[in-house]
Amino acid sequence: MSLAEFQRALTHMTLDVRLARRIKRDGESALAPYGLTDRERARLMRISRQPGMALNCTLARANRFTSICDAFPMTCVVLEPWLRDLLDDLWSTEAPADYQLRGEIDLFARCVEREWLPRKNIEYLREIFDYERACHELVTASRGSSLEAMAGTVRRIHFSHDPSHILPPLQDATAPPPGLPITPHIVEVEIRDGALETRWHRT
Amino acid sequence: MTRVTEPGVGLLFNPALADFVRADLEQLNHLAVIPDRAWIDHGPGHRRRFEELPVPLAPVEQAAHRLPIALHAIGLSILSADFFDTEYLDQLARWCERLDCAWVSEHLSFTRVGSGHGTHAALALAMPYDAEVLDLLIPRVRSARRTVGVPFLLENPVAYVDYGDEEMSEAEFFNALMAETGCGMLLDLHNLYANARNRRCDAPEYLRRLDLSGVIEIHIAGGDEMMGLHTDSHAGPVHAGVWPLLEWVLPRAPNLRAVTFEFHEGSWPLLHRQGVLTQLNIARRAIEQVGAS
Repeated sequence: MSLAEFQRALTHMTLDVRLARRIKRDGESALAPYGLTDRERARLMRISRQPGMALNCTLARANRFTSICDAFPMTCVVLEPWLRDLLDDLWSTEAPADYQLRGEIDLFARCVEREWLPRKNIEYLREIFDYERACHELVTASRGSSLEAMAGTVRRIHFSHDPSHILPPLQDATAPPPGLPITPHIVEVEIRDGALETRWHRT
Repeated sequence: MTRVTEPGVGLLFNPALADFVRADLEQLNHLAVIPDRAWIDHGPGHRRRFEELPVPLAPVEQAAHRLPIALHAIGLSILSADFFDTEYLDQLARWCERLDCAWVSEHLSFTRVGSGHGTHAALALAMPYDAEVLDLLIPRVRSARRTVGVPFLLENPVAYVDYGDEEMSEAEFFNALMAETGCGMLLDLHNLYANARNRRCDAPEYLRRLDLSGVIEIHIAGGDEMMGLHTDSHAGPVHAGVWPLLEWVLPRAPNLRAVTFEFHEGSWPLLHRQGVLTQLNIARRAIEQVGAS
């Protein structure tokens, strides 16, 4: 099964840029866990030094990030200063499990929910993340349902700030102004005529 | 099935092309489609593995009544060493029958590893062209041909790394594969262009060595620069470096049936209808010049 081991190592170094760098620095040691022939080991060490390997890592990250950014574009803007570290940590331990990379969305959401929301006090993160997760869940649920079945399914999200000051800039991929006053709102989101509709009121 | 007896021009369908396909069908001789856009794949062994999405390919299903359809799959991972995904192959066969396809193509690469394909590389990766890899592939390609029941083509991959000590050249590998299995080739000229530019291989030499009688379909596309390399991003119009390769191949590929322009849907605002028509017209003129000579 050496060919399978070669593919496993190549896949891991494509997905984990830190492993790719370790192989570049000290290939013998970094590749020791894999059952490789001498020729396979030499090949992996050779390509680890090529610019094309760095490009492979970048393209794989871009592909994984596409799914996340499609579902959580505004959360990514709010997290922008920390996003690279978050993704490095996440992707060094979690490989894509499903063929179409849809699982990336759940991995990211779990990471934000469990690791970032409780430990980091990032302004607007909780409300924006909850809002986008509700939108994503509604869209996912609507996939297998008729429009009639989705009618009246409304998700309510608590916002601590005025959505009219947060959502419009984020929809243009711009961070909202810092330090907005606390003004609790309820944001309601539903699917109407096949499209997401959002409205809000102050509580 | 609409028989394809001489080369024509067509498009690889993407969602941005829905209106184009409805309004400009007469501009096309065929339509290629990625069937994976029509389903969510829950993975091998899943009870309802392929969950069909609501009507993403409706324009293609309508076009199938009037045009030959080519299925261009991206999920077989035919080079995965430890697993051959026969469930996926069966799914291709079902869609091939559903759309009455003229042929089915896949990529000569792997994307998944592990028994049951537990890990996805998030990128199609090429393998070294060795006898060991050829031996792995031959029975699989024969099986794929039997399962889909129409010509089965494999596409030359784009590869950004160079293994350096492969036992065969890519052209020799494809020649051997086609001779052993009877499969055809989808010759992606932009992949060839990118490989030649990035890895300093010689595209004309590649084409001279390749058995062009096995080429059934050609892909033409654009790309762009990233990190000092030319990527197969399918951005915008066909790259200028691809057209001379197409002109060289056309008179030398006797069984060629389709030249297909592929672009990423994100490039639609750059291309629009006129840009797409321009690419099709250039390709059509190149084909007609061969016919006239």
